[in-house]
Amino acid sequence: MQAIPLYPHVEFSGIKVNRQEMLRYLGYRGQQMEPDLVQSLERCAALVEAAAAPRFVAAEYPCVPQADAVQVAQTLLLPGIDIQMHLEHSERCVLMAATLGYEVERVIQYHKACSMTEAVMLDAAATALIEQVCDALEEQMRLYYQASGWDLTDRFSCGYGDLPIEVQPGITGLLQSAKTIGLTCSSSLILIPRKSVTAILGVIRPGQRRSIRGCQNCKNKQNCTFRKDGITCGHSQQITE
Amino acid sequence: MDIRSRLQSKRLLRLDGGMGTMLQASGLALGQNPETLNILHPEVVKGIHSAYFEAGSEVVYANTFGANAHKLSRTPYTVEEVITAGVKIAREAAAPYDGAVGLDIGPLGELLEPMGTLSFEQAYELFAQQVRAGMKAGADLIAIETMTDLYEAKAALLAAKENSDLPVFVTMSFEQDGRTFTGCSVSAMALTLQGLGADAIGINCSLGPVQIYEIAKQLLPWTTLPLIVKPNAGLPVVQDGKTVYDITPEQFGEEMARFLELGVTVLGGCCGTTPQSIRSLCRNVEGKTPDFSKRVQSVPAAVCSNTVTVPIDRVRVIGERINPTGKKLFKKALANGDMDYIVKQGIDQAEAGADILDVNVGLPSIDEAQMMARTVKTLQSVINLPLQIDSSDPKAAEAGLRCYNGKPILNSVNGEDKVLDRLLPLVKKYGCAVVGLTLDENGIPRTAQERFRIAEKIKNRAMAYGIAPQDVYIDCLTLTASAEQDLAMETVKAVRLVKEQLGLKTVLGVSNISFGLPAREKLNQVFLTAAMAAGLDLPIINPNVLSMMDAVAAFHVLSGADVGSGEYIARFSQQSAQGSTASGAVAADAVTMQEKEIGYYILKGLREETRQSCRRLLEQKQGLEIVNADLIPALDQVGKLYETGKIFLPQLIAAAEAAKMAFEEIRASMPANDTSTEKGPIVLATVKGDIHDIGKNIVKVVLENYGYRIIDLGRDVAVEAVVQAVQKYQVRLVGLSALMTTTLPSMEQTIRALRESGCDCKIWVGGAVLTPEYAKEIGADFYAKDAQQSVSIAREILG
Repeated sequence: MQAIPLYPHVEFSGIKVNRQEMLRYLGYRGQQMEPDLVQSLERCAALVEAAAAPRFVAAEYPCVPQADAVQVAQTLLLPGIDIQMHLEHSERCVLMAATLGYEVERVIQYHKACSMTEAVMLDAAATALIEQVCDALEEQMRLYYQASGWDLTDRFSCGYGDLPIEVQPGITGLLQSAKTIGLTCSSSLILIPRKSVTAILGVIRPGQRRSIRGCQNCKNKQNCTFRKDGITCGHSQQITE
Repeated sequence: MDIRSRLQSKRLLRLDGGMGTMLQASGLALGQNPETLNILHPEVVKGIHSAYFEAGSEVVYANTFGANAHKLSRTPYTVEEVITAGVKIAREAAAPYDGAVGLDIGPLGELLEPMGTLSFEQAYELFAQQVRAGMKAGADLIAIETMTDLYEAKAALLAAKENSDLPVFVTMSFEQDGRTFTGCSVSAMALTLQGLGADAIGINCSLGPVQIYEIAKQLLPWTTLPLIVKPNAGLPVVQDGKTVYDITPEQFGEEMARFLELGVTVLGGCCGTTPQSIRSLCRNVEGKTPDFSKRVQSVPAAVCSNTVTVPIDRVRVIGERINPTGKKLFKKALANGDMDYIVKQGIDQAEAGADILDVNVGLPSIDEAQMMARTVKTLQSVINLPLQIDSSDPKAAEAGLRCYNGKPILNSVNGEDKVLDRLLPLVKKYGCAVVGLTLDENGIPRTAQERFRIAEKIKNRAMAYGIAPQDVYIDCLTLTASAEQDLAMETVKAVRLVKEQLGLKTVLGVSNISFGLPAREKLNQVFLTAAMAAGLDLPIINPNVLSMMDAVAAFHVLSGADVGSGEYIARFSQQSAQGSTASGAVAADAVTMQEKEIGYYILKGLREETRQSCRRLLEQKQGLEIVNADLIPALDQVGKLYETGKIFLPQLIAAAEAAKMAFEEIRASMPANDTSTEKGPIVLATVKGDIHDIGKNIVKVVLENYGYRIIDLGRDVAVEAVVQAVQKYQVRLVGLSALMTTTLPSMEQTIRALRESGCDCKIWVGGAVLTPEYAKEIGADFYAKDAQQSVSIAREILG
């Protein structure tokens, strides 16, 4: 059994921070904005775009269902019903990790010391951007699989549903993300740089894809302020129970 | 083989190739710890070493790359077991070939502070454990490799030097842009690691020999050490579902031979390379000798942080503002551990164009060494300029030098024997530059000639300690013109003598010249200009004073440092443009200001307008009255607008930050000991293990505006640190934040420790994963869903 590394060509340089997403992370609900604030938002988005150095690593591994878990390669056991459902049609899965890099982190740190207003906006811009980076990567990988008659499921990350965050070091370890893209996992299981994502995608046949991005998979369902206001955070396409 | 004399002989030294690659080929499971094979399958590991010796390697790295306590924690083995076995296997393989064995030390796998949560001291301990085990097991050298964080490389190198006398190789991994993942540059690596006493440095992993060739070229001007290159087998590509490299072992060998042109003498391979690659390498370098013509004889005078290198090849400004002397607010900040204030001083100077920041935190009432380490760590987490560690206390000096991530300056030594002999060993050990003051036990000599003689003594003593002359910066000492007018030009004369006859860089605290005289700025500027003309390299000034920075910019034109006057033109066309808009803005504001209440500016988040408005109010009423009648009502209104969704988060924070300007004005208008506008204090901390502190910082800004004094302990705060602060400042209210389910346990521990210590304080908690129920469960008194609720809690407890 061997990992098959994936090197999809993804053009990150053209990716601009999605301003709508950025505003949504800031809790924007259509309030009136002063021109100054609009300018600051723009400036922060541009700072993040300039500082970001998106990198990713992805590879395909065999996966085998176990009792209430999925075994990926020889060493990574992903426990939970949700990941099992996510990979129910898959004998192979793709692990991916992506990061915006350290410079974004530094820019946010610097602004925390000068202006929390801007730090919060930068943080939101970076959150939006890493999701977009993941979307772009996912799209290219999907095209790659579709070219040979396969397809990919959506992204599923640890911390979603009943897949515990404790598997994070197993994922970063298998991908050797520290070495390949400078992404490490702290002993509190925080990805560092913070604006980073790891995810699991199942390799499936076309037509087997279904959306897993509903609120039911989210641990924060009970507290979610988006849900309370009748909208979604973006991870979920629709509000679901 | 004696590695050190071999390096000095300038003959080629052949290392081995990839270990992980070979282990995987022999069936190592994906994700399995490769070092456990030292115990489970020693014969496999030995076979690989033997194959490398057979291919021509003279040194192999033992299979100990990830054998640190952090990475081995998920295996049943100890560091000592894995390293002892690993070195023993390599020794056995080396014996028939008379080969040498390196203790391989790779990254810990967890990032260090400030980005990560592993402290520099913890990292040092983890590495020291490996070094001691490797020494005991009989390694011939220590090979620290694949580092991407200069701070981690420094921790490992210090651990190697302090726990063994073995030669140390250090190599880091760069991306094609010439920087590591954490932003470390080639020059910063070279300056820092050579300073710290590595025996050889270089580049390994991440790229193939073709790409590394370009990066190795960048390394040449910055070091005189023997150079190591250990590239991957090329760049990886997928072929038939397998990773292969874009060059063949034959091409690898050919490319490696090109490094001889750069004077690189230690060659090997990293990921993807095999005994075949090494055989090809050996064949291609056979009979060839390295060309040292591109190697430099000495390292240029320069200091650096991990990302910014400042060569002292033109006038470079050292910012003097991080210093409590004569500053009541700074003293208060130090006494209260208010790091925000200190960082702000650094940021202002960086934005004003300082090249280096002086850091002095000496205050009789505080533990200077502890404060120095904390300040250095805090500053380097935010500002990337090199620092000058300024202390007369050797303990504080060492604390600062030790935890600095880069090559700093030590300020200062002088001509006294006991000072030189106490501090120069530190300068040598930590590889920093040093400021030498031209005074001794007899005080400051009057004449330039006598000061020159002290400078000469400092230079000679430094060289006797093995410190390069380009790392000695002489301060000829500015005396006050109002008191000793006839000595002003003696200083300038001394600068010239030192510069011309000793060839040393010079440094000078400029502002002292004008003490006691009016229009100080004018005197300072003229004195600075005269000193620069005499050869001053490093003026220590307040970079926030525009005329001083203008003088430096002008001097760069005259000295030719600013080629084509491009910087000068850019600076002054910008300044005049800014000048006109700024004055225009002020004029327009002056009209509108009268129409608007301070509350309006706060609501709109207009900081400068809020400040101005507050100044005008202060002419009419007392500070406390403004707080109660104007600021608090305005903030309450902002809070209501936020709660009802009329404004959103950035607007809430902007309003709070604007109000903060008003508070600053009011505090500055009151005597330092008047705390009538102050309530609290409140301790805030993001708990151990967690680095998500944005929420906590928002709470802080908002609470400060209600007059609460906040003791902000920062993020990733140890349980004991919270307890200590609560006891020390007799705190009645503590706020804790955590964003991760994984850090909630440390929140719970902090609460328990506070209760057990008998602290009579209320605790409130907040953070995305918390709920009111869970807050109760872990023993908190309150849960706050946002900053506004925190205000209600503070009001309830503290009034």
